[in-house]
Amino acid sequence: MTEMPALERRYRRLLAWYPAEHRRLNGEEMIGVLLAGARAGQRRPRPSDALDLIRGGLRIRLRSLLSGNLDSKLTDALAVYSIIVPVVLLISGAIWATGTNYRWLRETSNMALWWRLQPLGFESLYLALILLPPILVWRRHRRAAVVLALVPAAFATVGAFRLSATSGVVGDSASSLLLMLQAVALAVSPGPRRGLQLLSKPAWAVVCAAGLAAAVPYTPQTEVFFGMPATEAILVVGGVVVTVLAAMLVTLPARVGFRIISLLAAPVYLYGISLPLYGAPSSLISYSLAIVYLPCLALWVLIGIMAWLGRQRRVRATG
Amino acid sequence: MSKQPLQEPTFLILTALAAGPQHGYGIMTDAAHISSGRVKLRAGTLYAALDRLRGDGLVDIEREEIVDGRLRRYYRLTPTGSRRLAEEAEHLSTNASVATSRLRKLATGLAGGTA
Repeated sequence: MTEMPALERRYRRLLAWYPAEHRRLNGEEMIGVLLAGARAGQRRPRPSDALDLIRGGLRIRLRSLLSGNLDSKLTDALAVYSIIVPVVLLISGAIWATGTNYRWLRETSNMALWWRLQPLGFESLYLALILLPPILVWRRHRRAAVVLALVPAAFATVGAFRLSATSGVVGDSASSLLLMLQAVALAVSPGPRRGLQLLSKPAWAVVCAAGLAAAVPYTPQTEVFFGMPATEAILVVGGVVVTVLAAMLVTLPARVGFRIISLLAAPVYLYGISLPLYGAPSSLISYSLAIVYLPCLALWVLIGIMAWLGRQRRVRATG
Repeated sequence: MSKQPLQEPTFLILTALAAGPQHGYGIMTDAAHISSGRVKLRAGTLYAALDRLRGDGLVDIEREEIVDGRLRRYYRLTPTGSRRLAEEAEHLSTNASVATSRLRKLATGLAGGTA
């Protein structure tokens, strides 16, 4: 068989649409079949072949999702996520509640992430709703955990679905994604036990640092910015976010780190443009709600429901 | 026993394997031959179908070989698979016979001019 390195490279890229397990078992064989069907000197896959490959990959992914199998790296990332979210909220909430180091929190409290993420208005109830679910999953009461976790997620989602181009709404959309993802993570991941296995001491340090950073209210008025103009302050905030995310990437196992970053990307972006610091124009907010928030929400709710149903089916089958 | 009818590509794959174990590319060319070039089975469709057929126990791996430095797998029909193909072929055949005979009556009816 003649070597067709360019074509083979392109076919391999298309195979990325297939689950990793399937690629591992059948990838080489598929490349062989694809190259066998290629014309001499062909450098690009035919569009119909490419589309067919993508469809096949999606079909196989969908099938494994419906039978309750999610990619293990993704479920590992979700397991870590299910711990990170409560810990960050706990730390930032505790700082806010005591108001010790950040005493201007109480005046400008509506800008802190902590305030943003308590749409119910009752701090202790909210804390319970954040902390209890992972504990319940630990104690094997997964259904109760998911139901509890959905309460704050539902409130934030209702707030976000006002769908007006205001910073409040886009802030709620960030919370909605963050909390909905938490519910999905609790529903379909191996749980906090697995997450704890994956969190090394350096990773814990990063998570705690993220909690501290999340407690800071990012407005131009606070003393944190020492009268910096908004543009410089944005750079500082951006720098903090990038540093925390990069640190997470470094301290977590490679594939898990990447997936956590991609899970957090949309909520962090949405929260970022909700800050009065940034002063986002309402057109950007509208586009972000339509193009970032709604598709991400739909995607994760669908994945969560299908994986949950598949999991139930599998549990029932094995008794 | 009301099963979902087999889709045409799946039917062709099982029919190809009914002749004996074949590898992926062989199944593709055979499927084109069986359908007189009407159905072009592509790799994506083939492997998605094989994934499902193996999951349902209708197809199995016969053997693996290294050809030109690359892995090649040969698939075979399982007893369950050949039973399923036989059932489906029976249904299609029955449907086709009824359709053909009714169409014949329709043609003679029109020619004869009866109501």
